[in-house]
Amino acid sequence: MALDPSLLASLRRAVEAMPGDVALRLHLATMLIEAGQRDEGIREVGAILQLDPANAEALALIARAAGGPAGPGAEPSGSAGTEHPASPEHPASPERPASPEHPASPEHPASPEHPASPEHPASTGHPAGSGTGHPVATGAGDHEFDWRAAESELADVLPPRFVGPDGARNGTVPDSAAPDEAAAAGPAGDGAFDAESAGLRLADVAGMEDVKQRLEAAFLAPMRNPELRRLYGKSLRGGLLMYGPPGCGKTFIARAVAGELGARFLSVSFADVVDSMLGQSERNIHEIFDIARRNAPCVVFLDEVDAIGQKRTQLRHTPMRAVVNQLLLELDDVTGGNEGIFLLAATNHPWDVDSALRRPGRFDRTLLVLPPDQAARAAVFRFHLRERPVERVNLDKLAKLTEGYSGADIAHICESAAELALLDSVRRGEPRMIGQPDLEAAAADIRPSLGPWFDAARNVALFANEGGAYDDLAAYLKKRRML
Amino acid sequence: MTDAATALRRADLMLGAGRFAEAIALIAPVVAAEPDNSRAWSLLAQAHIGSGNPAEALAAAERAVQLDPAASWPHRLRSIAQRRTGRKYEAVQSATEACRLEPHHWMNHFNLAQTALDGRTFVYPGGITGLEIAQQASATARSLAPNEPSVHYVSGQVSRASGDAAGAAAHFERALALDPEHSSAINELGRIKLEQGNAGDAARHFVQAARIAPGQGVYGHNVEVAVARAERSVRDLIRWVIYCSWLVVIVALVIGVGQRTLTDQIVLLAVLPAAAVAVGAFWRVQLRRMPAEARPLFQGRSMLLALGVSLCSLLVGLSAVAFLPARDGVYLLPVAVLMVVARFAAFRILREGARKRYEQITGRSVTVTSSATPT
Repeated sequence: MALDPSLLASLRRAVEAMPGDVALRLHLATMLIEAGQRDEGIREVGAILQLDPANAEALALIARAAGGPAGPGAEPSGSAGTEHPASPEHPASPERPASPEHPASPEHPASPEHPASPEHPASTGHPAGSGTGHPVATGAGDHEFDWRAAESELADVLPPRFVGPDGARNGTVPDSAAPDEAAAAGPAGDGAFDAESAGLRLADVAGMEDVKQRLEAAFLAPMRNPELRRLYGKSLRGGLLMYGPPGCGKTFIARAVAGELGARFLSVSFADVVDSMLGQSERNIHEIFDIARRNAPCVVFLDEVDAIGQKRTQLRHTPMRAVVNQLLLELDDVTGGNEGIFLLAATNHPWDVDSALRRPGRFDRTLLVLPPDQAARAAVFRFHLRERPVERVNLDKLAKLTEGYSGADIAHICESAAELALLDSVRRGEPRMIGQPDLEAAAADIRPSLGPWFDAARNVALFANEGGAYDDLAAYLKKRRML
Repeated sequence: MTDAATALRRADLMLGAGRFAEAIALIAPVVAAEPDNSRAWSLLAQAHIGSGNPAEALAAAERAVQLDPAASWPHRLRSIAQRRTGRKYEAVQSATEACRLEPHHWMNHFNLAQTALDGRTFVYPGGITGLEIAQQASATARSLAPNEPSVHYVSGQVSRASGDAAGAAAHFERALALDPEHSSAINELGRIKLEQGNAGDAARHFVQAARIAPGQGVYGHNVEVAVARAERSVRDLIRWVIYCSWLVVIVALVIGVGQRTLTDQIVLLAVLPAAAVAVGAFWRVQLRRMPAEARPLFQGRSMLLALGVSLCSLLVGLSAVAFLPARDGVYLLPVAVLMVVARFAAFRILREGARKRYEQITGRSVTVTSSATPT
């Protein structure tokens, strides 16, 4: 239906003059929706529901606009959801949220009306019943929420609004959930294992100054200064074992170290190594180190080294014993004659790593990577909120509130805060931004997940700190009064 | 090798490395594609047992038993899952069935011993108790696998449950001889020492177990229990000091009022440093018995406070008895009141200290990250 612009303008002026006039606002909303300006119409209906949450006409109008089941007194109307069928011309991308116009991506699960394609399956982690996969509270009535309208409204408010200086990104996130920027460069094309170019630098890691300083002193400075290294007779033998609680950025830092060295990055996990064929796991280890030698300078990063290099006493009846032996052989080869291969490893449980792997010349230096400090936590919050509609979020305050949380915990807080805002939007019939109270409420609800790790760490610091291997851990626990 | 077989072999390796979630991720598609694959269901049961989901493990094991009732492994897995879900009676039946199907497999007898030990109070068909079944099964397992540390470990547990501490210790020692890093056996030896009242030796064993497997929170917890026992003995001594100080003051009052010489006074006042030295020496002995790693856990603040209060009151009491003239015996009344108050205060401090210690130990989570039980 065509709408007379002058009539609309006068109606708007009238509403502005009398914002509490529900009937007038309802009239404006009806006209807007009938004219196809659904988003603005829904905004008006939202304002009405704020004034009068039980207004049946407003509920019916919003249900009609959303194309869902009508509330009391609603008239049947055509489904708005069928106005924009999914089209192959508009594939989903991280920048474009899922909508009927854009098929769902794994990050934006498909709605019941728009089933996901086999390539983009719907999330099964949440109960069905809403387009987002989250359970929906329908406190404002039986209507369904208009996700498209909400998305289009909130799309206008990006980028996120943080309280305080909000300039360019001042640090990347030491978190396993961080984007794989290092993978941007193409692989070197070495069979099953790829040596990537790492684009990250330590400067990209926000906060964690202690870790950076120790990395510089123990690992990077000798590597970068061959003349000085020769002068002081400093050997390049040995590797660095990073350990600490899960979700605190060990893998991310490893990539940054590779970037600092300008080296290729070969990440190896337990799943990459283990093979069902007898002897193949050992061959895989050999192949990995062979590739590293061909791609030198190269950082070989053994992720979860407690799995690949588990204590052999714990491997009495498994073929993994041979894998550990092969790993020891390769490490000795590397340190014996191969220049330009830098060994890095990460583990949550260094006490489960075979002691032979920690002898001089192998992983003989350790670096404790602790939960993110305040600056790092603020950066983690910034990262996880960067593509969400937020307003007046005080990152410093949030960072202070989340002392002792891991990066993964903070990601969880952001997710929960988004869920709170979403549910509230549904309840109110009007989309709203994620605010500081949502984040603080989520932070109060979610407890740090690092308790069990610190329990084990306490045992280690008390009873297994032979030769002072865990002195830094013990000092941290003492400082936090956990010892 | 088919894809399913490859996936299951990989899953088996994952299970061997304790990566249960990854193993489940590998097995789940296989059981979905091949719902009649008994091995897949058995591996799934094993993975769920490892990851601490006994209900899911039981469902998978039941399915495996259904598909291959003649194999002993599914029955064994079912018995473990039943045990972990609290169905101890049925668990023994499943374990017995596994032994019947494959009587020469030591693991079946090992599992039966462990399962029957758990349900030792039940009486099974034939009037045989769970403990008797466990004794027979552990003996059979030992004869089948004399070099398997787990077999000697479970035999030790059975002996311990039978009240044979010496026999149990011998079995645990044997397990340790075969596997010097058998932390569970070391822990059990520590428990025996603790039951024998030897907190220092117990703590030494627990510390050794914790050093080998620091991820097993239970060992650290046990160290604290042993230290708390040692603290308790010091606390008991302080109680005795308080009682004795009363006795000394009363005796001095009864026999000595009005007849005090300089020697008497010196002797009376010597009681105070003697009491302090006695407590200090005992304290030191207790600490010396503890391994160095456990000493920092020794918490003596409340005990020191209680000792201070009681020694101060003793000092006042003895000084009054020693120096007040006999005719001023009336002043002894407020002194007696002071000593009563001090006694109650000291006892209260000791009790509070013990309570806090108890809460601290029981409140700390005991994380057990993996199972030492072969499946």
